[in-house]
Amino acid sequence: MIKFILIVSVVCASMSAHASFEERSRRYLSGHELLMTIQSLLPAYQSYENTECHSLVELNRNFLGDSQALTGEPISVGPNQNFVQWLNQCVSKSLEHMGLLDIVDGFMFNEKTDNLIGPEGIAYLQSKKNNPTSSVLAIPGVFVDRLVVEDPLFIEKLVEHQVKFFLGSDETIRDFGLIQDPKAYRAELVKNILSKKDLNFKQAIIRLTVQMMLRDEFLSY
Amino acid sequence: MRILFFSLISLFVMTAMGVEPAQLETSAIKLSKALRGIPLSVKERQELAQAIQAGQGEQQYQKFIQAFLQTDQFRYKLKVKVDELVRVRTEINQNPEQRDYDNYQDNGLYLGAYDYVVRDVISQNQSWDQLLLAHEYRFQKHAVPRGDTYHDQSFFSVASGISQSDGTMEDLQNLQSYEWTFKENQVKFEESDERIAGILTTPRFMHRYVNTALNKSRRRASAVFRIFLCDSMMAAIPPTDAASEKSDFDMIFPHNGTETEQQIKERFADPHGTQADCMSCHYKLDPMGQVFGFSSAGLAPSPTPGALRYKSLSQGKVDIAVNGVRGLAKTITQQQDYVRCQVNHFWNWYVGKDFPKSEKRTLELMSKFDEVGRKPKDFIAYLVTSSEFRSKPQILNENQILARRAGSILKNCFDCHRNQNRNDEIRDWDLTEFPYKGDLQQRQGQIEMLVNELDLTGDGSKKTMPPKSSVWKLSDDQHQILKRWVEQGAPDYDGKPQVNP
Repeated sequence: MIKFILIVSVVCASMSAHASFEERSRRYLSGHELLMTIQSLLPAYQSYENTECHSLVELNRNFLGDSQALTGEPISVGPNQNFVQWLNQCVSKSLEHMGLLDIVDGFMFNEKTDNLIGPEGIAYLQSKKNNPTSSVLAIPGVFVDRLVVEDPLFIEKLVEHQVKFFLGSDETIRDFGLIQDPKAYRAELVKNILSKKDLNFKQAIIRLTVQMMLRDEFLSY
Repeated sequence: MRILFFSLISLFVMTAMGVEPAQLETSAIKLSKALRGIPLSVKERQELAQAIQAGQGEQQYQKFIQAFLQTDQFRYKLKVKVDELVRVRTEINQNPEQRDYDNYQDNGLYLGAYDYVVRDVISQNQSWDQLLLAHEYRFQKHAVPRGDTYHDQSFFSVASGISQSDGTMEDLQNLQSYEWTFKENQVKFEESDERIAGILTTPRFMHRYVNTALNKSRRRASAVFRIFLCDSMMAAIPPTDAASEKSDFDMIFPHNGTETEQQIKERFADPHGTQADCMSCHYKLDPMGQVFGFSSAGLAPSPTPGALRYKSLSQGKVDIAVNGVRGLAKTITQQQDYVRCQVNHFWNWYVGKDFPKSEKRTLELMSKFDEVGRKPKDFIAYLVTSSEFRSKPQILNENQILARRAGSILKNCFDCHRNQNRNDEIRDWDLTEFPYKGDLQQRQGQIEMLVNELDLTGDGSKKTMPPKSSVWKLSDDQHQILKRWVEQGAPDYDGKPQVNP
């Protein structure tokens, strides 16, 4: 079971409600907005396979904070365990279908790849080119099964980029108030990933992306 | 330029008051999520970073406001909020590949008159009053709505003479024009047509709040009170004096849970709706319900008279005769309670309930709402430039959270007791407004009253409030919260104890 760092204020039954999850001191993105945001950030995959990751359906409406038409109140007041499992599943499926890391000989880069890996991470991968005869456009390389422990520097760049991309600059993170020392937080993340000796690059990207998307700094405002 | 000037001034004032302004990037991220529901894109972050470096950060923030307000996401997000206020489910294409915020063609999704009225008010930045006063409608034809039976074409055709089959138009009084298009129909009524009132006279609203022989359109009236006048329709105890207080409670809650409904019916000879204990709500609902007394199958052939009647905390008794739904709608938009209510909606949507505002601030916002012509984009632009929106995210301590939870529970009490504030001999006490007025001794007295009535020193079994026949019951969890709140000295929203713990 992957452990996630989910910092959420203590949830209590809220007597008032609007669109999204609602807890006393913060507002969360609504169910529709979460779907929009996730889709704008992650590579798309076949929608007929994954309706619950693209749309508000009966299966996911409850824990995505959608409100009941009868009362206008959200069904869940904040992200819960079902939400965590749903997000993990959808992010994993999306990244597995990305086509990027499944291609043995090489992979394609696009805007969404940039979102996840970042320009420095991409530059680092480019420097690891080891298949100059690849017929695939863009940068060749074999990283499907490459273990994270073989390239800790890539993991550092990945963490640095994702924290900045999903949570904001250090000043913004401190402003939010939940993380007082962003540098220490990043170091802890890197240490956590590298401690998993059998984790490969793809798994590391998935794990980190899910962790970032579960932060209140990302989900709420 | 003026907005930039005022935003800089507000940042200065915030700092002077000790409210910490957030970093510009923090504010911009919050702005993007609040207006569009998505974070800043990579490109937008880069633009902001460059602008901050060039000393143009505030200007970039203002540019973001204007840009975000024009997006489909903004329109969609605000429409969702209105839908939730009206308590209808937002229609959205479930196929993400066809999802198009602007155009729902050929996908089986039905956009009706209600949807277009709300969308147009938002996207065209019309006066918010148009939700009640719009007299031109558009709707898609022939699509069958999912799961609902309303159908705009037949609704408007009943009174307008529009044929459902061939689209020919018969002239009828007050019908301006009818245009038949393949995808979209348009129906225009005269502005003076007293049957027409924005979203209130759309099939969506009518079917959501169905009229029956029993409820006699009071359900629709109740919805109008809740949405446009922020009246939750809790049973309101009338102003009274100390001597008759107990008898007033017995009047409002006569059986106190000891009689069955059958016994009550046998005891009262008069029909429901005329008894004193029912009149606390019915005096408001019945006159308004009369204007809605027509079938949801079709528009009323002629307007019905009724009245807007309620007790306003600021204006006293309101009792205005109206003719037709439009007369009612116009009268509502002229009330200060309507302005206050809509301003509160916008405040809660964009700044947040967790940011309490004073009466003075509320009056400022109401004045601003009128000043911008009640246009949503202009008012929202003002709100997201305000010091409250731009302040750092609040991480509340335990007492601050406790105060907010206690306040939300006590709101249920206040909904009943609010009218008692009209009588200064009894009390001038808003149970949700912390800190309570008066000196320490007076506040102690008020808290002790709560402790006794709610049995907060015990397990709650001896509580006398709320009355047993009240719709709202104090749950065990809520009892524990209030108990803890009192034990901590009944802290106010800043976390400071109001009384000795």
